[in-house]
Amino acid sequence: MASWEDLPQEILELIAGRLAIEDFLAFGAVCTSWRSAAIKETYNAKSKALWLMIPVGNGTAEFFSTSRGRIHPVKLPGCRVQPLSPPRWILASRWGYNHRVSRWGHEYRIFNPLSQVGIELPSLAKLRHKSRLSLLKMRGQGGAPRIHRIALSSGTSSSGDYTVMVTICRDLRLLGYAIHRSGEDAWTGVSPATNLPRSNFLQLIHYNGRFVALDTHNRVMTLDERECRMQLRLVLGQAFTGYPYLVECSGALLVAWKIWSQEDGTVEQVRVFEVDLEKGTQEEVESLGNAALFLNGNSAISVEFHVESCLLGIKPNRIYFSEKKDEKMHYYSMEDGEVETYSDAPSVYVHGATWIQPDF
Amino acid sequence: MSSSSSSSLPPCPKKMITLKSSDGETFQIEETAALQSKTLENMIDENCASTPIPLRSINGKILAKVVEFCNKHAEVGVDAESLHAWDAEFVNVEYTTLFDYILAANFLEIPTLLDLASGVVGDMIKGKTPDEIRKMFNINDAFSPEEEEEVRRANQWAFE
Repeated sequence: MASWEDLPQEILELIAGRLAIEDFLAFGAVCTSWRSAAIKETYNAKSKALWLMIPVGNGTAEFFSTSRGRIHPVKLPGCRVQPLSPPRWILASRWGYNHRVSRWGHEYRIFNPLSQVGIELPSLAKLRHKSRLSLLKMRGQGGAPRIHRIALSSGTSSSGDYTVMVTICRDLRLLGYAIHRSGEDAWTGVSPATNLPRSNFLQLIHYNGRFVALDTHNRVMTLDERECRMQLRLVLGQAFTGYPYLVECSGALLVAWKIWSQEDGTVEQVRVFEVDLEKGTQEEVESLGNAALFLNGNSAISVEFHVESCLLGIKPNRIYFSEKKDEKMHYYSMEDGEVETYSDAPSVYVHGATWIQPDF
Repeated sequence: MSSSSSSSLPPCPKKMITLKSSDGETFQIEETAALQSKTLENMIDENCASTPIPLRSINGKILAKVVEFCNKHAEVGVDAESLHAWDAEFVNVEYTTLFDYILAANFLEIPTLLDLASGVVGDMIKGKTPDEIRKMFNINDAFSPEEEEEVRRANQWAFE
């Protein structure tokens, strides 16, 4: 008699493909034939998962699954971690001696906590076209250069080609921008936009096939990869007292402004604008529809909701962020314009936690 | 509904085709209902459906249910909500029956039934550990020792 492990491959793929990430992993750990169906090419869950990454020291982070309410401890290839764009990758760094360049420095690795794939980035000392960076500061005394903002071209899988873009700082002062292409063991310096000074990026993401940055002067720029030069697209007109985030949401490019209250500096509102890079225009967004935004310290992600979505206490048309003042997670409702406390995440974990989206 | 009263002719004769199960039972199904099956559609298109179609991999009990499913989904004027409820009832069956539904839907290429049945399997897996899933579906022969080790290494963190 036929049994469940002998189901035709295409049926197993059909079943596995729709499972949420944790069930998908469990499916693949059942037996040989099921394992062969639960490979990353099959994973097609409509509702993407959302995890809180909570660094707990010793190169370990706990991942709190909002769909399960469970915590998964994961060993990381470094003791400092930060989320990056796209949100299924994180940047892990550690201090070490690099024999290839005979120098101490930060060693960086991009890491996918779900697939456990890690990609080592070249040492920041290996830099081509240094002239495009702030050379004096590069040679000067002080701490080792470090990555400040980072984004990854979204085509990245363990095998495919990818490009990484970073901004490099030393002692919190900007040295410049650089890119690294897979297969090369070096960084290539990137020039600032024509007639513009080098400026610090608040946001750097990969959107719709290119790197998009937002700097401290409200300028939105894209990278011209061939010329290795930034290109100015538009200047945001607002003068909000707050912090902006660049995020892709339902295919659109959004700028979400966390706006601080004049009295106590807590977040009192979030305003969202849709940016058109081609036209160089922006327009305020009144509703996120069935999507929600999650703002980390310096990056953001969006999640679209479907009928099957089941994330603990998380609802569409809301923007989630953690508040420094009370160290709790809060959300801003686009519907009624109120800020509320999100109480389903264990509050003890909120400090220093960032949202990531596990995916292959 | 009942296929036994074949003596009296229906008022408006519809094009019927005959299916024959592995255990020799025959079932009449309207051509319009049968079209939900890509396999049957092809046979109808190629004029191979004039004689009873033998379905050697599907027994009478399951074929009866599959015919019922096709008839229901060919009905006109059924609102989505009640069809949804009917579907839920239809797949509220033993694991072995569900398994047979999947194989039959796959063989006959009935995407609606295949989606429905595999969706139920997905729901049953939801929130379970690999061990619990193995027990539920009575899967004994899991992994070779080498695979076992690889699975443990790759996934252990997810199920702790």
